[in-house]
Amino acid sequence: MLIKNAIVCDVDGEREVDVRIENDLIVEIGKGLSDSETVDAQGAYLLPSLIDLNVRLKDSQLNSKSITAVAQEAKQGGVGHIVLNADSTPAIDDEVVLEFAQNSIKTIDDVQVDLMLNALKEDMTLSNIAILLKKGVIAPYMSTIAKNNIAIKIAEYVQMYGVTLFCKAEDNSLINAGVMLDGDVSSRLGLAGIPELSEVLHVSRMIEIARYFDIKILFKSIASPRSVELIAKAKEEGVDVACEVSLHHLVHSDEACEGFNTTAKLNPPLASKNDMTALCEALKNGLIDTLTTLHQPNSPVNKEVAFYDAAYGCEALSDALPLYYTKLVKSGLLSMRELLKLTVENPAKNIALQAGKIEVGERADLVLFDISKKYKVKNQQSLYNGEELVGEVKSI
Amino acid sequence: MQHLIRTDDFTKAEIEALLADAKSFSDGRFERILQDKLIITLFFENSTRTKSSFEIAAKRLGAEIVHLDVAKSSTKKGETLVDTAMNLDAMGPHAIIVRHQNAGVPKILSNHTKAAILNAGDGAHAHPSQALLDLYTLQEHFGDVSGKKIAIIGDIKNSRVANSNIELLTRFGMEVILVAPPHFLPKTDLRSTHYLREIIDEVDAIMSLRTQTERHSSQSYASLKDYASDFCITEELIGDRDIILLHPGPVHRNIDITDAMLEDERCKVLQQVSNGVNIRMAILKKLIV
Repeated sequence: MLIKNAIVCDVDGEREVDVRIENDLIVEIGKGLSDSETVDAQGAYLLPSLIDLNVRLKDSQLNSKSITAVAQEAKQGGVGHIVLNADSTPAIDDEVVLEFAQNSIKTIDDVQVDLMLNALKEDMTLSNIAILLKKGVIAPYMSTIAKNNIAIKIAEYVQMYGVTLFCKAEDNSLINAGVMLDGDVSSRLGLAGIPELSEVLHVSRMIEIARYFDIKILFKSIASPRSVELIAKAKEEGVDVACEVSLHHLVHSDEACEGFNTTAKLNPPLASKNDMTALCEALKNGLIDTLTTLHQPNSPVNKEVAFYDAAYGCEALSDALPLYYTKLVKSGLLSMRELLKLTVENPAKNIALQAGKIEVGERADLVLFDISKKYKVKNQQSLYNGEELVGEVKSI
Repeated sequence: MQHLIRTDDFTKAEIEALLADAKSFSDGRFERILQDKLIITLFFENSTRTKSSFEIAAKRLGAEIVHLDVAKSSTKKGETLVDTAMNLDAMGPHAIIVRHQNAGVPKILSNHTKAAILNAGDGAHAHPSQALLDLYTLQEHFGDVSGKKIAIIGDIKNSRVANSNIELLTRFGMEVILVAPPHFLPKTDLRSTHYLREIIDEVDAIMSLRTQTERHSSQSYASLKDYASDFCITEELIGDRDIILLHPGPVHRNIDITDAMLEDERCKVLQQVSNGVNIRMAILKKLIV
């Protein structure tokens, strides 16, 4: 198959060339190529498909139906590779659950689905990290609700296996007390708040663990600019840490919770307006390593309830590429090339892969993205419901 | 359909008209203008005074009032608030008076009902009828309240009464000063202090709040006694100053206010309760006549 007239964009930049694909591989790139099977992609971008390292299943229920659904949504949004969060029910913390999840994934062919393992079992003891890693889990995940003695043991496993630790920085005693960021909006709404310190304290603590054990940590869905600052400073000092931020935290502040909008009830909670601006600055300054849609779908029975009772999360995966493009590229925050670094190249590095280049010999994990098209989001569970987004994803 | 979820649902002109209605009701001038109207009360959280106050208000104006026993009926897990709202609405009430321990529930119900929703207190969010009766009581004493200073004292962060009063009283030109330990102080642009002595010589009114121990998920102060050692309104603090004292009730004696101050004529707590009925009559008239 030959894709003609597309603007080919990867992490190295943009160029107008034709791309020939055979057996899922890129076999030729050049001008004026011809083929019997040609796709005329005039005006569209040809991009590497996105990688999202922080995807959850509907109501966090681990079953084959919800895995199939989420893979479908990923494909729609131009995301070719997703990593499922390990904090599902049941959690991926033993071999039986892992084998069940892997069997469900086997049936999915057009999206790559990978799994994290939950390093902490429900009783706060260690899961069989070595066995689960050898059975094909892509990364260990831990919440900082782990006490230091356990966190250190996890770090030692991570050191031995040379993987990246996916770490959610949060304070057990503080997250359970609130339902949104502690601030003037939470006061006005009369909702109990989670202090920003909940995350910052544990980022600081885990940086020391990364430094001490010389391991790599990816901080998941960071919401505080102070955390980003701490991570950037640690990098300068040679500590191998990185930070992931969700699109929502760059676009929406805690004001989105006004009117008790449960769609804006996210974990981590949306930051204050000033902090959201600071996160965007950090993004422009290259201090954020990976982006995620923080996709966390819920049934209405878990969302159309009191803000206190509502489940955390919103849907975004099926609109991923149009959302990133409209909110970050079209708005001038990032170039397309920079977006691909944050959504393809850097996420891949954290799961020991290389991706983001359109070159001869690479796998053809590509999407066409037509920015002359627009559509309106129709999804009650999306923070962008009713908004017009630019771009249409076509899989190849 | 107009609802009353927060004080800012009503314009200043609407509130002035409402206060004037309450005044004429307090003089005994009212008729059964709510005859043939059905009002449902839905109290998910215990309340004696607010519920009775609304019931008396509704009956004085001739309305039928039905109390739904929440403990025995709906809103168990498995039903959304949209379901609850639509089921209640199907009974054909003209107004639903709701109290809920969770902030935002009346607002969500109001998105899905034809009946007027009247918020009788939701979590730490809003208690508009209380703030309106507080404003009425302040006006009764001062006439024009504009330019007067009021200190709100206590667990402001967890108080729906404080939230509604801050919005309403500042809109009517009062300077609101918040007095609380850091534990109970919200992030705010308003003037605030931890020390009563800093403001006692300049305020015209004090609103003391009940410490909302039931809304604290974990220990937030060593003890009520420890709190009272700094924030109880005492006769020594007030002295012979010209300050009136308000409290939404129920008063925690000798924690919020001392026995002696409660008996002082500058304390308007019982006046607030009487005014409450008239204000709630005026609210019902505005929403469903």
